[in-house]
Amino acid sequence: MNRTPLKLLVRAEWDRILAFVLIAAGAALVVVAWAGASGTPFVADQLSYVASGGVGGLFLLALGLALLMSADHHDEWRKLDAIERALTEPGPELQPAPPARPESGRAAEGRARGLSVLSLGAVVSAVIMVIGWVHSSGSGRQGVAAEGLTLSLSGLLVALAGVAAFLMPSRSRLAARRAHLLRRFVLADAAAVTPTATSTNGASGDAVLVADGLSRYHRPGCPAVSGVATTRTARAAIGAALRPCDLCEPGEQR
Amino acid sequence: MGPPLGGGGAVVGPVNPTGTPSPRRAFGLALTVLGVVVLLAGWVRLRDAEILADQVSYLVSSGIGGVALIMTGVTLVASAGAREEVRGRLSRIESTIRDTRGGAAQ
Repeated sequence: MNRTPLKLLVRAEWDRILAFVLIAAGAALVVVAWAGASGTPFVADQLSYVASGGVGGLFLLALGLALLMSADHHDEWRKLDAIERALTEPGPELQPAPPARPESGRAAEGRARGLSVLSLGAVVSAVIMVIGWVHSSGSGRQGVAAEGLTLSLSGLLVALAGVAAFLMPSRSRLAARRAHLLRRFVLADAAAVTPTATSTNGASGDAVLVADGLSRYHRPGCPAVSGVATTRTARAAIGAALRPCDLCEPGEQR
Repeated sequence: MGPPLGGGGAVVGPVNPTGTPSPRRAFGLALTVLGVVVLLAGWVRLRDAEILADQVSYLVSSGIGGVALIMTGVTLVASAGAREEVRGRLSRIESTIRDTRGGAAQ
């Protein structure tokens, strides 16, 4: 099936395009709310503008920014797909061997589920905000308008909760896939860059890296602490409060 | 034994070798600073306003406007790192893998 470049662009970048549309619409609503609120001397009417345009603008802005971050996650996901293809396509065997192909279908399901959560949160919060706006508009009484504004703000909080429930698992899935796909490559790279950290049989020695403020310990050369002031210490001296890094897995023998 | 997969420093090397801040990060920082300035300016004007209607007007313009700017700026700064990771380190890893496998095949 032939597709024009525009259709291909929309299909591949729909989340980024929608994000920019929502951000622009949100900014426009805030400006409209400001113009409306500054153009009337009645506080009840001003509060109504805040409940509709002000909170509504922030709502659209939050959705747009969430989709923008999601589009970045999608870019990273595509890059990991390309790395996976480079690792698994026919050719010479690699040493160390690349990991088994992860279940990318489950990841796609996770993204779809995340978008469903975001959409559900957006619809619920939009309904709450519309109720708040209707409650505050045209009442002419400050107390009633303030109640409507409070309802709108509650709707905005629901939307923000939906954004968090959408983005945090997405970030976690991405980190897990990156670690799964690249862990052995990372360790081989780190060992070559810091040869003193490995013993003669190729396994990591007892030395690990710790740093103030970090809750994990790392193998020497781990990129997770690249640029961080670390202290080298014995693995046996690490207390139970510190966990091993998910990326370099200093607790495992290689 | 196949060709070695690691060892080129593609992973341990810096995410952004040039060290120059990305336009997205710089723009995000500028928006965040602008948002803080707008919030502070709005607070000062709101404190000095004696009429409630004026205060609400400042609340909309400076309060919501400042929060919107800070939200946008912080998001841009937060996402700049992931973007640099994709364009820097992950692209380097992909090309290293392809070079390693391509070189071994010849």
